[in-house]
Amino acid sequence: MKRMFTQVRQGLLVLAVGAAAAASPANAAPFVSRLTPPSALFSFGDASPPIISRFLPGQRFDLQATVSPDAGQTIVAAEFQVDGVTVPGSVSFTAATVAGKPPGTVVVSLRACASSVAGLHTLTLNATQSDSLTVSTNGNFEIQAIRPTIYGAKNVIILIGDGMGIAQRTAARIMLNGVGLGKANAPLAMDSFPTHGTVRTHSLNSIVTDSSPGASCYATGNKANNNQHGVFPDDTTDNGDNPRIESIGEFLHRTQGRSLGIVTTTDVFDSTPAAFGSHTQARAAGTGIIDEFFDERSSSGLKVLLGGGRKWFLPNTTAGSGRTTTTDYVVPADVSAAWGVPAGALDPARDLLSEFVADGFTYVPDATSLDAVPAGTQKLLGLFNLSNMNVAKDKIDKRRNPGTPGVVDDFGFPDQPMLDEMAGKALEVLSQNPKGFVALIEGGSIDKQAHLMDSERWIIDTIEFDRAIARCRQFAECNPGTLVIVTADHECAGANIIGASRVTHAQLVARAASGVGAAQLRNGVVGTLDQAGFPYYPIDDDGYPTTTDIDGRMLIGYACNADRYEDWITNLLPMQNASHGIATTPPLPGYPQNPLQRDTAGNFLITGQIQDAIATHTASDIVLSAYGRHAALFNGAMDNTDVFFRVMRVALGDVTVTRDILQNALNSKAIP
Amino acid sequence: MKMLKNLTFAALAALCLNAPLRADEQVPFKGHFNPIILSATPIDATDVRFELDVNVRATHLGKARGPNKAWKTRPNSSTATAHEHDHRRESVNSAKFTTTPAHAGGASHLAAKLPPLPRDVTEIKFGDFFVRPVGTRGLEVTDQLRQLDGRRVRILGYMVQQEEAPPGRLLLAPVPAQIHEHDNGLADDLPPSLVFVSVPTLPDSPVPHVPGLMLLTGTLGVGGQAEKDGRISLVRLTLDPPERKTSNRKKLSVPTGKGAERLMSNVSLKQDARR
Repeated sequence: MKRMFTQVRQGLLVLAVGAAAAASPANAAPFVSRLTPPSALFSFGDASPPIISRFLPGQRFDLQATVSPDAGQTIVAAEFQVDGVTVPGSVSFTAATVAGKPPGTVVVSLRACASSVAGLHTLTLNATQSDSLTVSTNGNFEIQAIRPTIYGAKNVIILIGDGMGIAQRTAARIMLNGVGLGKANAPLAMDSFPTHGTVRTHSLNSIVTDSSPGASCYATGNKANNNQHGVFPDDTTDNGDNPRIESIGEFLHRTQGRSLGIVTTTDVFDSTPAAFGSHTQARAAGTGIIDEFFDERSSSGLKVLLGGGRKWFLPNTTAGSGRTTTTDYVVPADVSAAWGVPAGALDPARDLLSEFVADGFTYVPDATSLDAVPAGTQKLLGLFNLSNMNVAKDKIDKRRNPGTPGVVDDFGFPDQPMLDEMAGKALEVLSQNPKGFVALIEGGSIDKQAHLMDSERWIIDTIEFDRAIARCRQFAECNPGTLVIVTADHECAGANIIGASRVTHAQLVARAASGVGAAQLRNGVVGTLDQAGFPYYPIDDDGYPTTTDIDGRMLIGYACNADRYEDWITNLLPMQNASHGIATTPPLPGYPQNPLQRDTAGNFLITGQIQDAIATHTASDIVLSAYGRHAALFNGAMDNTDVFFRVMRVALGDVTVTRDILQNALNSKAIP
Repeated sequence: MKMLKNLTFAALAALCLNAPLRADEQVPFKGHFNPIILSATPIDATDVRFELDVNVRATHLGKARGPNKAWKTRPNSSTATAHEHDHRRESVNSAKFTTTPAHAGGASHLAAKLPPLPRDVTEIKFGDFFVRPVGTRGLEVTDQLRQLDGRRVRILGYMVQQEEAPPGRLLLAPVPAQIHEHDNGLADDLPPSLVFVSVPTLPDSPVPHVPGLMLLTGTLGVGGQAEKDGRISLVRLTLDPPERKTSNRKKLSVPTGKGAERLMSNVSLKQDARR
């Protein structure tokens, strides 16, 4: 019989078969509480679609189960079978360390497995406890068929506007281009893409995802729990031992020799960039995430890393370092051996910045040095802030008024690049690899500012993101073997355009100073429907609004809002964020702590629907736009994990893509 | 503590009630402003001292912000309560505000108006810790901070609220911050300009958290040092011993003397309560 399932890195063959076949599975005392990859068959006894876990042919992933023995017994043997055939390889045993598990509960794993046979497969776990009683349980997973040919996309650019729902796109278009007589004066760059679809964003454990599984689905093709990326959940407290799934960068580097680039406006340890370069159950474990970027660069092909987060690269003896032991990582021996990755270490004193440089990375600390990166550079590291980079509005304010102290000065980093500049340089470096690349480019603070309900800041960050999209489109126009995907990981804050102001800015300022609340700041101000008209924002030569405090301004509301005061006027200062800058002299220079400390003079309190201090994500679908090689494949309504498989079909040159595109076109014509 | 909280809320309500208070001559504007209470410090039985961040809304000017302080006579009941969003109107007695317009990109140059600096004590601010702009790698300690190593200094900041604060120590930060060691260990977002404060009067017990700004005086230590909880401290402050309070507490309305005025006051109160 053809071996259809193998462990990629062959280890010792440990096939632990219980001696006691006498006890039937129905009567077995051992209990299996988790079988990984997750499946509805295991959880609900339902073998029908949708199949929860799917993989590419050859894509590696871990098999794992949590098994509890009967009281006084121990689990002595376990084996995994796929379609009734035992999977060879070394099964490791680890004690389950999460609370609430019976004594003796173990997590059994078989690492870095893969299958080349497309189709639905049954996964079986057989375990035996010390009194010879056994248990057997089933789950399933699917291997998605791919038929490679030569016409794939050499380069894949995935642009993620974190928290960018459809309203964020609309608001950016209205502010940037305006609307006249009912028609947008011009589209956003992302609007100009030829294909659009919608994406469902739920995570493995909630209808509302956070950014870790929201990005992990694109990176691995599989669902993850909130706060986790690159892994399936498990029953240990160790952050580094969860069942891994090979990511897009790792797969394309291992099989095709392509490079990986990660570009973000946030701290580079943040969930979205981290999901493309690390595997962890703790999105907050920044030291380990950044260490893994470097330690596993030979697996992922990491060649470009640009963003904030310099604090993780400095030894903890250096002022400004964020490195700590508790956020660091260690990979257990079975993971290290099977996946061929370093074991990691708890080393907060590590000088990772120097290690990057020693490895040949060109290091740039600001926009000026980024711009000066010479042609032909092969590896690039840019760290432009200790934590998240400042947002577009505050960067632009400084560029327009270089001699005036600004927000970026308060944060200590006056010369930070814009996202389009970072994207352009990243593509320049990545395209040095003739085999191609995968680039993740994130507009990360659209989400963060939507959380804070700072409307103008997330709109301008969306415009900044759109300018990066335009840069990527230009690249794709010059490099036809490129696929560009623009999407989000989720929507944030339930933001929407509720209308426009009915008063001038001067009138709004006066009303905001009145302190009368809704009578002055809602009644007579919030124009709905035809009262909204068409707000017009003048645009400066730098491509951003000259001012956002216009007469008849666009007004934003939030469906997932926290308590906030609102006066509709642009906030001079962003919300304070302790993870940011170094320079503050109390009393704080006006940086509000939360939405209840901002815009209070008008006394217009909008009561939140959630108890949190800030707004949060929603479960609504988000938009995906595609440009370039086989972009037409990305239409219709998709699950977020579908995006991974469609991208990989294009990246690998699936010969059936064209057929499916034609089929999609025919189906769309058939819709009445 | 509950009394203090109630008083704070009462004062908050009183000051945020949108009474159209005018600024003094320094900033001509026609409009209103809204103070954010950064701290409410009971001075004595009748007076509360506030540190404020004032948001100015002026017609034709827009927004401006800056720090201020004020004294207010407490409501006459020690059980006075006020809901956070109770919009009662109440004038503020004897409140004096001076306002400096904030520049559009921040107002870090605005200094708090503090009590007179004691002799042989140097004022140090968080913004003075590190060289700006930040260089190509980590943060560089300023000469000013280095030269204060071993000397008595005074600093204004916020006590970090910790779940598992070690005995005899608090963290002083330039921003109000709360950390959850149980969930996140040392994975917190505390700013790098952090002062590790030793409280000699509480060697064996955690320092109770005190919200709002506090002004601390003590001896400064500068240089990397591993702490028992795994953190690396760069700047440390050993508090001066508290002075005994005079019998006439009204004289404290303009705080003077050594040590942590608010902290010591609160610690003393707690210790008294335990006796």
